[in-house]
This record gives sequence, structure tokens and C-alpha cells, in this order.
Amino acid sequence: MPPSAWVPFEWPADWRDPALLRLLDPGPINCLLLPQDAPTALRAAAEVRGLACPANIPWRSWKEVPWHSPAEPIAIADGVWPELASQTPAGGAQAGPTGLPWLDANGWLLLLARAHAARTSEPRASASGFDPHSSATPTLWINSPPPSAPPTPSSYALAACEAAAYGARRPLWLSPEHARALAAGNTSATQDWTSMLATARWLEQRRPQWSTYETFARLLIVSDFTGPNQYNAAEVLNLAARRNLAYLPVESSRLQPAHLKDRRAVLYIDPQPPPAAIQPFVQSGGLLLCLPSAALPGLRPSRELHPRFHLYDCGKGRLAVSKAGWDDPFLLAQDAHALISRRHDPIRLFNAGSICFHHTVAPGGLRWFIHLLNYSHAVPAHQVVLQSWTPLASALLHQPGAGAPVPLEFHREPGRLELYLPPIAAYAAVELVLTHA
Amino acid sequence: MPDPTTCPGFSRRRFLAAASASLRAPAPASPVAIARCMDYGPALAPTLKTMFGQLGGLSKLVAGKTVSIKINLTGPPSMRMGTTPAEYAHYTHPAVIGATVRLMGEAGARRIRILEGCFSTPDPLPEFMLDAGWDPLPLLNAAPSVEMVNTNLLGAGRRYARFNVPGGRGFVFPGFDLHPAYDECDVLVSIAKLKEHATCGITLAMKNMFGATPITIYGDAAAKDEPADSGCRGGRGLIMHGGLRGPCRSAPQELDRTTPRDDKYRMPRIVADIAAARPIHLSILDGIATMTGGEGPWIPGPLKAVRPGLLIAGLNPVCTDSAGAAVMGFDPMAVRGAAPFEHCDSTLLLAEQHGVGTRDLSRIEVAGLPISQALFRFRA
Repeated sequence: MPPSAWVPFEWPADWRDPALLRLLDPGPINCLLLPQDAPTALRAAAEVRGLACPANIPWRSWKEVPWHSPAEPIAIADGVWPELASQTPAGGAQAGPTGLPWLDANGWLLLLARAHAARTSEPRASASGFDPHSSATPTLWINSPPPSAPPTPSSYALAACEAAAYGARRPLWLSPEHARALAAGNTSATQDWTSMLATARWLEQRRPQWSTYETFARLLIVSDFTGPNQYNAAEVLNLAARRNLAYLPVESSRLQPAHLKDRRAVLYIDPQPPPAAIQPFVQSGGLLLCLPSAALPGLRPSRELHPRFHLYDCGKGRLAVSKAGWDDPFLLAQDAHALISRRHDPIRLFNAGSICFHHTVAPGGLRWFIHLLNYSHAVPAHQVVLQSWTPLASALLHQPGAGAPVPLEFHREPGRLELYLPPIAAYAAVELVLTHA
Repeated sequence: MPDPTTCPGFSRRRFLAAASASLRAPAPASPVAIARCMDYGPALAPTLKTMFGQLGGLSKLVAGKTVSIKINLTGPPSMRMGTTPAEYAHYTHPAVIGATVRLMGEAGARRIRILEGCFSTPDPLPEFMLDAGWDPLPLLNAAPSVEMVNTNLLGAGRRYARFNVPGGRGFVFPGFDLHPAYDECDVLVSIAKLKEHATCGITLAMKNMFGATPITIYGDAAAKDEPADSGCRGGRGLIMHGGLRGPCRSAPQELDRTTPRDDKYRMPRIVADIAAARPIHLSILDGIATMTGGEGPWIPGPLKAVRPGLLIAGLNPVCTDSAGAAVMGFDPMAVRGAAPFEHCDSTLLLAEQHGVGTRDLSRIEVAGLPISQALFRFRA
């Protein structure tokens, strides 16, 4: 069984009895991360059941992962447990300048990891442009320190679905209390475990299809993502994701003209001269946001004014050159979104302050698959509305535990379509069929 | 009827000002037009045109002039009351804005600027509209030379403009610093929604202008001394609602910091001060589709989307708002303690005391639909 097929479970340290392997039925777990002092009998029994028991998973901080190593899986240890950001000392949830709650989310990190780990720099063509990662990403795992409070089934569901939505896996994990209760046959613990396994099965059934989907992006965020550029680049990725801005990170050394097909803009983080592919992109109508040291030749001052950028025309395109550097990644993400224009947002959400989404597109470009992750999973998101200006033929709602996908009814307003979504606990996905690519 | 002079914080100075006001000439009266308009479809523009005609005609008001239009997009653009789009609940509907702009263009307006202090953000107004799911292009193309400005920050403007309450006799502030677009115009229009308001009882043409106060000066993140566009975020809770700190020192400061730090005392007075400091020439109330129970979906309590099917317009904001209040089923002569001012002071009364206009319906000529036929009780 190749690592790409492993569905891992962190075997609890207290579980010494091989008979507890029965709790893994009816799947989908097929890979045990056993503690170093696991009894030999346990390991042997697991192997008899056909379970992979890799001896050593190389968990590392994302800043230290050897991205181009052939070893799999690539295992990121320092993700976050996905949820609303931890409470302030005063007891309120931390909030950003817009009033939106901060979220502890890993989507940006998983997109960055895919950019780093792509086995080839050859992107794959699609109707939405090119996803430089989708066809050649090695197996990606993410983990994090445990949450401060014991996780609930919806918390587990969010963690599993978040990883899956971005093409990764998070090993199933049980708190010590939950593991002890489950081993003792506690009814509530057993129900929660059953729910966790059901979610994992649901995700694994869909993973082969989802792995063919590509991230939909209007913006490329280009950097070497290392050294002095790493902090700003990572912060912008995080904050742009919070805005549900459709972007993809690409390593500057790997950027090719094909990456830029059908993009609206490039945010080039680094102070060095930009990759050669960017100039023709701008000349033909694209937007480049960059530092002064990375500006292109042949600029004409624009008549537009901006408080934080000098704006220029360049061929058919535009340059936005930062006046003061990237000192505020929040403002940079906000400015990038406005300079590209929300007109190009493929979808909008209403009443979705705790939701981040990952917009993917199926091969051929006629089918969009929108992963909706509710980081306040304990309180379902109610009356969420999804709006699109793109002509759509049909819509389906996918939810773990809800059986077959459910058709959604369009509500039509002049120039736009809307979908009124049922309450979203931790995760839902909306599949949209376009009338044309 | 409660005596307004017994309101909390009604100082001797204020009493004397009110007494002297009563000796002055009565506040001006001006006609108000009311019309039935059941939806935002093709009947909207002709209905507005008829109403403007009843008020003396748009050409007389805007021909050859620069017009600034303050619209009402209160609250975050991605927040709805249930699934109801904001324009059917708490935002001025873009069709009303577009029809007004088009008619003004046809009436010869030289330049039209659509203005709003976009909630908590320095984003350009067209981007804010896109975030709400609107396409701003039809509005920008509704007449020649239309622009949009987010007046929360100075942006490309050269300096904020100072507007003083006549005689410096404001209830809270002697004047305000606003975006220059409020100065660089010949005609100021307030297009508001017909709504109740948690703090002010009602929010109509005058309350709409509260959103003109730039958050770089009056917002929670405003700098202490000089406004900076980098401070363009947050609401107006600290300075305006709560009075917990002053606006940027470059702007006019509060007259009396011993007055109650109670938003239901402060906000009606600040609204009246703004109405006196920056006159509104044309008020339009979008009551075709709106909400009851408060000014936006963030208000706790029972909220409801409703369709009164009404448009109200007038040349005097106090008269227009008074007619609007009456159409909503409220007595515009009501004072604190009576609906809709159960817990706050009456902006209508305070603006009348400033001499902006009368709230006395017996002095206000109503053209078109009589109030009795337009009545839509918001508290029914």
C-alpha cells in the first residue's frame, strides 16, 4: 500500500491490547501511527489485519520540511487545530480590524505546501487556468498541537474536512480522555468515534474524485517563500485566505507563462526582480503588485490614485508599486483584493463570517466544487447565501452524514443567482454545474 | 406628554437656547411628495419623476450643478437579515439610486457624486457595492459624469471640509469635518431607507447623514491629532455613540463633556447637529421594501422584511422625515418616552430646535398620496 493510500490514526499510548483493533472496523483507517513503546503483539496484530505501521513519520515544522525530498508523506507538524481563534483574556473571541473573528485555519499552509512540494513545475491546463500543483503533489499530511479543550465530533469533522478539502490528510487523533472512555466501551465515546469514522469514510470515498480538481485562482502570489520573504508571504497567504480571495501561491523559481494563463493579477512579494514570465503577462493586460525594486521598465503613471500604491500603466496592463513596503499584510491582502476588483470573485457568501471556502474546479472547467469550512463548528452557520454572477445550470449540496447530494434551488435576481444553504455545521460542499466553461 | 426639558443632561444653557429658539421665527416648512410604488421595476423612475415634479422639478434644483448623493449602506456588505438581500431590508436599493441619478442627468446635472462612508473600510465604494453583490456599473453609467466616493477617508481629496452648526450652537459638536465631496457640490441629496433605529428611534434622511462622518476622524481607530487614511477602520462607537474619547484634535471638539455619555442622548443630538451644519437639499426615503424592528440585521429582537411600497421625497429633511415618521405610524411630534422615541430623544424635535425645519404636519403640504392612505404601521 503506497503512502498516498494511507488513512492514518494516532494509536493512543494507553491502548496496549491488540483486541482494541476491532474499534477500527469498518474502516477506513488502514495506517497506524504507533507509539514507540507499542507492544510487539499489537504491531503484529495490526500487520495481520493489513494495516500499515510506518516506523517513523518525519514530522517537521513547515519551515523545515525538505520539500523536494522523495520521501512520503510530507508531514507538517505545526499546523493549527482549526477553530475560531483562542479566546482573549477578557473572554471574547479575538477579532480583526474588520470585526470578522480571527480563525485558526490551515488552508493557506496547505496551498503553500502544495506549491513547495509539487514534483514538477509543469502546470496542468484547465478551463480556469493552470493549477501548478494538482497533478504532481506528493502525499501531504498535517498535524498540530491538540486543541485546548477536548474536541467534539464536529471539531474532529472540521479538522478532517479541512485537510481533505486542500488535498491533504490529518491523522485521526483521540484525546487521552476520549481514548480511555472508548476503550472502556463508554456509549457516548463510542458514538463520537463512530461519527469520526463515518466522516473519514465519507471523505475517503470522495478523495479520488477531489484529487482531480484544481484550485480556482484569479491571483497568483509569487515568492521564494523563504528567508526574509517568508514572513510577509505567509501572512499574506493567511489573510488573503480569510478574505476568501481566490489565489494560488507559486514559487518564483518555478513560475512559467502557463501559470499565468487566465489569471487577473500577480502579487510578487520579493524585492528581487520578478521572474521573466511576469512582464509579458502585464503587457498583455495583467496586474502586478510589487515592491519598487521589482518594478518593470516602461511604466506610465496612471491617472488613478491609491493611498498605498503608485499606480502605473504598462502595455495593456497595470502595475501597483507599494509606497511603503509590505508593512501591513492585512492591508496588503485587502488592497490586492480591491485592485483586482471583487467583480472577478467567482462566488460571494453572505452571513458567512466564520466560513472559509476553497473553490476548486473539475477537469474541463464545467463543474465547480466549493468546500465550505465553518470554523465555529459548534454553532452551525445559519442562513448562508451563496451568490454567483456566472450562469449556472444546477447545484448540489454535499454534507457528511446526509446521504446523497441534495439539489439546491436557485433564487434569481437580475444578473445573479443565489443559493440559500441549510445550516452548515463543520463542513459542506456545493457543487455547481456551469452552463458553459 | 413628557417635557423635553426634563431629558437627562438638559442643561440650563440648553434650556435657555430652547427658550430663545421658541422666540425665533418658526422652523421652515416645505412640501413633501408621497407616492405608491410597489416594486423596483419600470414604474420606479416615472414615479420619482412625478414626485420631483410635485416638488418643483429637478431641473430647477440640479441643472448645471454638481450634485452629491449620500446613500445608506449601513453595516457589513456580506451581512443579511436572513436570506433577504440588503437592498430589500436595510440598504438603499440601487434601483432608487440609479433612477435618481438618471433623472438628475436628464435634468441637466453637470456632475454627480454618489457618496457613502463604507462600513469600517477604506475600500472604494464600487468595491463595497460588489461585496454586497451589486454591480456598480449601471449606477456609474446612469448619467454622464458620475463618480463614487468612500467618504470615510480623504483619499484623493486635498483636505477635509469644515461644516459649522450656525452660530456654533450645536447640541454636542459645534461643527464637523467631512469629506470635501460634501463641500464641493451645489446640491446635497440624502437617499435613505424608511426604517426604525435602535438608538434614534427612526433612521431617515437626517440620520442617514451620520454615515458622512469620516471614520479617519470619528472612528474607533482615528488618530489623536490629525486624521490619517491608515486609521480608516472600525465603527463610530467610541467617539460618537459613547463619547469615550474625542475626535481627532484637528476637528471641532465636543462643547460640553459633562453631558451624558449615553448614545440615546448623544446620537439624536449629533444627527441634529449634522443636519444643521450641512443642509440637505433633497431627501428621498426608499420605503418600497424595507425592514421593521431596527436599522439592520445585527439588531437583536424581532426583525421583519416588509414591503410598504412607498416613496417619500421632500426639499426639507425635517419635513420629509416627519412625513416619513407619520407614514410609519408614529407621531412626529412625539418626544422621549413615546414611540418611536421610547428610549431616546427625538431627532425631529432637536433638528426643529436648530431651525432646520418643522415637524408639524399641519404646516407640511403633502403632495400625491395622503399620509392616511400611505400609512404603514411599523409597530403593527
